[in-house]
Amino acid sequence: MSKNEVIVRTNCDMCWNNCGLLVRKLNDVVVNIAGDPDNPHTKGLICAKGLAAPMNLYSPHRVKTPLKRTNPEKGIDVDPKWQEIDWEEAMSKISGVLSRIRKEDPRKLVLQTFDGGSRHLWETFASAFGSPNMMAGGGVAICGNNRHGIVSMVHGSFRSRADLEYCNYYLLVGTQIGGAVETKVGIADELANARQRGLKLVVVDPRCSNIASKADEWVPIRPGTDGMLALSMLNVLLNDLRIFDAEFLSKHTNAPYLIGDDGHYIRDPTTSKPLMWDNLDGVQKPFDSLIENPDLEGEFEIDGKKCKPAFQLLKDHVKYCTPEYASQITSIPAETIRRLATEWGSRAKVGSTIMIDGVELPHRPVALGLHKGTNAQLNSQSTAIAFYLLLEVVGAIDVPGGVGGVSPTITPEGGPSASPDGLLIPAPGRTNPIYPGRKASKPDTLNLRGLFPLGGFIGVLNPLTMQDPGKFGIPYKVEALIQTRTNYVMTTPDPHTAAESLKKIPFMVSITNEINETSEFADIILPDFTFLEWMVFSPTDRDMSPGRGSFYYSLSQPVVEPQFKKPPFKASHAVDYLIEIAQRVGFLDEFNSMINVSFHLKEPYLLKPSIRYGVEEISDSRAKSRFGPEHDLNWFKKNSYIEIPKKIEHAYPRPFLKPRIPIYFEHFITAGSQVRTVSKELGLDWWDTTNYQALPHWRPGPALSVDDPEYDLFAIDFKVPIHTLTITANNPWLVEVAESSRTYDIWINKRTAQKKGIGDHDMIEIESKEGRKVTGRVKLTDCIHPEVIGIPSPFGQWAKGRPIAKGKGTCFGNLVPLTTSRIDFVDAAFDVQPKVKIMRVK
Amino acid sequence: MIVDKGRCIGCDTCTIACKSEHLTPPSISLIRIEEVESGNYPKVKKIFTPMLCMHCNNPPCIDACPETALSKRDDGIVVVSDTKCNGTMACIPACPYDALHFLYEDAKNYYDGQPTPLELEASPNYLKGKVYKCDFCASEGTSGKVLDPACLRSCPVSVFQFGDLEDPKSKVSLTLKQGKAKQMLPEQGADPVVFYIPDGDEGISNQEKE
Repeated sequence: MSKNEVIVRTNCDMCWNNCGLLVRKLNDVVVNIAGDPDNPHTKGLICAKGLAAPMNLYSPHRVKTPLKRTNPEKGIDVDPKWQEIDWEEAMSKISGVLSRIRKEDPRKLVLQTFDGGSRHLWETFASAFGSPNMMAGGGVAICGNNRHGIVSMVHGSFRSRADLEYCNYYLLVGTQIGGAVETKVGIADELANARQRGLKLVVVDPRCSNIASKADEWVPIRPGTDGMLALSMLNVLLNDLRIFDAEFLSKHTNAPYLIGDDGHYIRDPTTSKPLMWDNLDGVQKPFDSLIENPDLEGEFEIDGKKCKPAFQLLKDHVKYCTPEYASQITSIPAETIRRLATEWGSRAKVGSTIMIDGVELPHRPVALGLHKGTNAQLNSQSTAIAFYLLLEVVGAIDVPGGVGGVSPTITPEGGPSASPDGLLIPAPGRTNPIYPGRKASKPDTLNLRGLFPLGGFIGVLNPLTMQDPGKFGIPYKVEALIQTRTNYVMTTPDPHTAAESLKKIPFMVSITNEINETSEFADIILPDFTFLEWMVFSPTDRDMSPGRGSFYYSLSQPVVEPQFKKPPFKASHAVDYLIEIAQRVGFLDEFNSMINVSFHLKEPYLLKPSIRYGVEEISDSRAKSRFGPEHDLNWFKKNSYIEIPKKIEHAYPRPFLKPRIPIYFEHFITAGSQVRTVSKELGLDWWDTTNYQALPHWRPGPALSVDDPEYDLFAIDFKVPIHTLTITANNPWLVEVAESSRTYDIWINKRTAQKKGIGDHDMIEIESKEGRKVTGRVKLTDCIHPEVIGIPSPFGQWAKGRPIAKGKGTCFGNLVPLTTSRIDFVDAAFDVQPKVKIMRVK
Repeated sequence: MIVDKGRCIGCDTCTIACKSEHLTPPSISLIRIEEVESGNYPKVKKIFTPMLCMHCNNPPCIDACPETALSKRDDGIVVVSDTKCNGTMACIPACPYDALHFLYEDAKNYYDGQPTPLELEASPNYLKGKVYKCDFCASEGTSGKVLDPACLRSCPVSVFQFGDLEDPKSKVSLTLKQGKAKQMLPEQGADPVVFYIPDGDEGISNQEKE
């Protein structure tokens, strides 16, 4: 074709993986998207969602102009009666409300976004305005949030992944990594290669997902019991087989630290340093003294007080988790649990080494991956820690073949540091505060930061705190919400409660591509950019660089003009709307100076007060501050990404690191007691601190406590490879494929259905023990645990503004009311595995 | 073409890549992934099979067409001529692989109203009442002139191999020589040139090898 052809390099944003793209235009129309083979992050790989992006771009359902609500009544199914307004009216209304609020109490403004690339710009806007209420939105229902905490403590990173180049045994638990090409497109290919060279893949999941279908073994498990499986495997490894990496545990963890009866470290009376026992000299010594072989096992006495090494406590702690006991809880046969532990221990090849680039490194070719399935339960944080202990006891952390940090543990700009107790504190800029944690305090934020001192993404109670902040000791009410790129109503566990929380907010602005379930509550709608229209540095510059290969930083740039009525000010991203607001409300100076700090801008590229910069200029300053004057915005527009090769200590940092990592979580005890004190002071006597324990534990979640035989099934939800939450839900190409492969149907085990007289394609009603009901169509399968029904999620949408998404599938979230009895109060996970009964309906 | 089912994760990237390349109307997909369950709980798994035109050496579709609208090119690709096709649909049941698709009169746009700028700019002229099929991307699509089919180019797990089976040194010929790749429904006698490497239990799983 000789039509005016242009190919633009940019990054996808149909999910968070930000795959490198080559976008082809003819006569200024996007006609084709392909993976960019030169992109160091994704090497040309792409998925169905990215390829379908032009249909999102050109959707006729997009918001084309600012809108205002004319119906003051708000609610699900209430018509907002939108009226088109011009940009000036919209911006002056928003600025008017925000000016008043900022004078009264800026904390009354809430901001919500789940967007990776612009999240830090939004955070800066919130801080400059004076509000601490920056939320991710509804992520708690769909996220594998529980791993962020332990990943932060162990890798000093935000995410982790297996080193599939050298791994020979891969255990996946409650995750579709490698099967659903979402967020980690490269892993699917790496895993397929590794399987074909002989890697054994074991998938533990109530449902035989796509990746479980590719596994050597699918291990069906009763929902909410994964933590017990991990504890039992630890018991077999440590007590029965006595397989562990003593050298790793002694040198790289707090396993030898001596623990007293109160659960705390025994400390040196003068220096306060935690102590270890030196068997050679028969005395205790500070953790940082030279001890060749500190004792990992046994019992000692110091000043008349008995104490044990942390490792001995771990061994004792897991002793009751015999495979037989765990079998009753998990439904996995005892011999399978014993075999999995044995395979794990033997495949770890403790003591073996490998030469890479002329450097001899430990080789521990066992890895595991966890995600949402392990998070969506009462023992969320403990479960992630228990599985991580399987890695730690064999030394498979940040070494070849094991699991490594994704957002790099060490970068050219620096690495982690050690706390006074010798434990790893992530390099500055990594986002998780779980160690050493914050001090518990009276909440001043809607996400109750003060009561979740070890939590990262802790917004689980937002729908309740936004409705009644006073109940939680928050001294102000929500007056306004600005939100974008999160469908909070659909991705919060309980859409009705989320909807109630929005109804109470007097003024809400939604910046959106299409009017979804959340935007329906807005007073003002502003049209959002799609990634094919916007300019922003993608989040890869912070935490998406793969463990191996190169550091990688990239720019997303506009491919076409926005397909909506452009604002009268320069805008290349929705953040430019925020900058317009900052100028009108009068806090541009604060915004600029905070941008300088947040993005480590350097002279001479610092933003000056009182000058209005757009996202483009800020991106230019960011690029030059970090990569030098030759790598300005124009350079990135042309090249899209910059690649900085990694050294061996970047790829496999553990052998090069001095800070230790915890196998014993002493600070959980301290945090728990602080939280108990603060919650009592607030009159929140029900605030449950059971999960603040120094070693991971397991207890039955709400579903396992239901003994009503009528409610005989566990309901779980799962994401599907063809959709990213609700971002793609209205894309007709993807919906067509999803429908033709029965993606929206509810999975029921054939024999279970047979007993109930339910047939394939039947419509059923599902009722939870809590009395919530949903309906859906049945898909009979052998690929699910007989005690479980699986509901694809998050579907069952109702927004009129997205007619293709509307009515597809079942709204799983409606089954579970947002109650505090379902929360893991350490990481703020929400247990979404209700007990249900089902019946056939016409 | 050789399709390695052991690598296929059923992600439908090929399905959408084909859609994006050829902008076929709703209900017409020139490639699809068939999913079947193999085994019984708990020893069970889903097997994914990408299904497209097999470009058979004895194409039953060609024999079935009363209008000689279908033909096999010198390079082996089976094509349909939309000038000759007059919609008898005789080819459709003749194909053992369900690889031919009829565009019905009531076909609509993906978004019910106006076609999108994408479809206006790049859509080939699909005529109602005609049959459409995969041509291994021999016809130019939205990515311009390319050599390999869109399904192969997009696949994130390298399921597909494509090349000249008559060249004994080509990658596909070498893979075929290993003997794992088989024709689908060989008893039908169509002699297809798309070969499938079976997935696990259909052949040997890693576990059994140990």
